[in-house]
Amino acid sequence: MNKLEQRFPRYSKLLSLYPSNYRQNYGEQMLQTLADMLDDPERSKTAVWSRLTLDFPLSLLKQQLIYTGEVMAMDTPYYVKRSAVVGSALVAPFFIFLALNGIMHNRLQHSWVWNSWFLFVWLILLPAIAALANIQALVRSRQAAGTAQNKRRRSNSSQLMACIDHFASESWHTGYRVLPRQRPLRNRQSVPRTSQLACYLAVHPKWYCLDKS
Amino acid sequence: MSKKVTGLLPQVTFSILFALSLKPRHGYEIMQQVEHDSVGKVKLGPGALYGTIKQLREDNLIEEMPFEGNERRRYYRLTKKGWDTLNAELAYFQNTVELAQQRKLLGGTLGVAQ
Repeated sequence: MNKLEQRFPRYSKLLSLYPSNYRQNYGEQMLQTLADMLDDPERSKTAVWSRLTLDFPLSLLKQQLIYTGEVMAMDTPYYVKRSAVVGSALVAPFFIFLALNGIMHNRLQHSWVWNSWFLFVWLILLPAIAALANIQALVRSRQAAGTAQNKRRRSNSSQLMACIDHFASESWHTGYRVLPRQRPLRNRQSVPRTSQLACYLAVHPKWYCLDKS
Repeated sequence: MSKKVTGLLPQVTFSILFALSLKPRHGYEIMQQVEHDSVGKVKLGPGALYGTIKQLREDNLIEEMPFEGNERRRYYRLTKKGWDTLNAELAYFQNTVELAQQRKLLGGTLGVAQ
């Protein structure tokens, strides 16, 4: 826990409600901005906290909605969307018929469309095809999710190596250095948080060790 | 996602771009400048500020400057597209003010029966 998190423990806990990518990019900057606002002698502390009371829930809701939209747009495979559209199109005539029948005061119920063949098609055949199409998409997406999980695990492993590499290159800054035991260091890719790195080192002690330089 | 430069930005977006037109600034400096420029009418909290900054970065209107000093103070500056967008917006406002002057709407006569 850094100094700002110690200073604003409740607000930093509330920040964890934001989507993870937003929190990682802007969480610390938001804490710093709050500290700047409170340290500014020209601002009343009450005004700052009251502004925050309004700002926090609104921005949280907005970011969560944006995140949900992005996830739905990116993670919903094309074939799932296609099955949903096809299924809706197949069952739509039945509901349109019901609506029209209602508007026309049950006249359709006594017309030529209300026979066993049309009822079979609308009530059984088309909904059954719609259900089959969606079940197939569901099974396929389950299989794809399993594959994606394996890919994510491999990617996490690669990021871990990059983090360790970066930390090793920044050893002059922290006073610590990471010594490779078995595996060679890879190209740096991302900037890790020191606390995350400590966890990685704890999980993978056989590859690397942390040493005071 | 790239958006066409059309003018008529949301108030907060315009205020942040306008605040960054003088020099690169970090979050709290942007907040102060926005309040100053709008004579206290636009007041941002950290959530609204960084939500808009995120959107502006995604639209490639501003960019983060290389890391210097305090890790939590990230400085932002306008990109080429950001300057174009701001100029388009200011040109729109200038045109509106000129039209208002031609129609003699400025100077507190608005709504007064002739």
